Amino acid sequence: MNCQQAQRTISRQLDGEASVRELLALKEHLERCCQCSVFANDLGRLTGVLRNSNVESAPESVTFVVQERLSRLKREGERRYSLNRTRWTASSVLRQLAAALRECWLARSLRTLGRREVYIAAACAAVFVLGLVVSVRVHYDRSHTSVVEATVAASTAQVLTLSAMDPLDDVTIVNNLSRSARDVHAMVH
Amino acid sequence: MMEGAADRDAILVTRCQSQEQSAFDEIVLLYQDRIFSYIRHMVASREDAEDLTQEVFVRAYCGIQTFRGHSSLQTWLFRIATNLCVDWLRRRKTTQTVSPPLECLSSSGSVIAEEPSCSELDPFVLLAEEELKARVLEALHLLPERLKTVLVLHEVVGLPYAEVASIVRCPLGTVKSRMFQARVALRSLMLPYLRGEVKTVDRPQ
Repeated sequence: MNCQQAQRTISRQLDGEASVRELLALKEHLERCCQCSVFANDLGRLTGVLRNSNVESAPESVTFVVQERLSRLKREGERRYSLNRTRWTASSVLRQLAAALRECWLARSLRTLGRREVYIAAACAAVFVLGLVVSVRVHYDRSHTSVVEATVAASTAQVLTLSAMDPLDDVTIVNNLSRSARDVHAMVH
Repeated sequence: MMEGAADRDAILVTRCQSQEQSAFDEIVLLYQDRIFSYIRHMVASREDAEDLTQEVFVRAYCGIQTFRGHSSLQTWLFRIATNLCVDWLRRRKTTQTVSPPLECLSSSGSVIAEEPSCSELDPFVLLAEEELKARVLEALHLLPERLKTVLVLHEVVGLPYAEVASIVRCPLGTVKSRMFQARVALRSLMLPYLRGEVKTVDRPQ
């Protein structure tokens, strides 16, 4: 065993990983090598100091400050979540309104609305107002259900408006319904 | 880590993921002392160690929803702590000049005690031991961060090599090799003190 091997074995010995054979060879080496003997003593002493270095307890303020920071984070997160949801819902409702108005304008320019269309348009407006009310509620109660309600209301408003404009076109109605369902699904997940 | 502790941690993580605030408080109480002690050995200032300990738990809280249990909770927390310490040490290195050599760290520059041979209750022996401990901790801060990390995790915190390897994301052989290098480097830094060239405690005649 040369000095380099001896020093690695000393390190392994400190970890309890040296084999009996290695330890015997090391003992033999240390008896005739003063330098490695000193190395072994130094390493043993330093390792002892490190292993017994006092484990300082964390100051009590750590727990308190962590809890304080976490509750602040939670409050901020909830506020941001609520604000984003409200913005999203409001923009969604406004988008549906714009689409509905455009459809109304086009339909009005093409033909005069019949009694049935007027009723449906009124229902549309009611549902749209409901959507707006619900989206405002989202801001206050922050519940997921309210966000879904708002989306359903806005989507239904659009479907009703479109079907009022062209009640015989079943394909359009089905397409719009499926788009609404996709919107709601995206909202929920 | 013991099986019981692993099971306890898994339950705590599940409770945290179910938004149970008290479970995270328990995690903080369970690990804050060990994490603080680790960071205290990694960074020189106590105030910085406190700030970094808080940051570890805040980051853990933010990330616990995505914690999948591929490693133990303890390993995960120590990994966060290690990353924070390494970032902090690197940032600090860019704003600080080179650390002074160990010989310059002596406050009085006076004479060291003889190798203690009397009773362990001898106040001078105890003083010399305390002095040695303080010197070792000062020398730790002069080690390169990759050596210091494994040395503190293994020797001070008492984690097994396999867990240290998982924390620093290195092969086991690399960790053992770094450990040997760290011991040799620490001894080199402490050599003037150990040989009595830097002496700090006077024993009255």
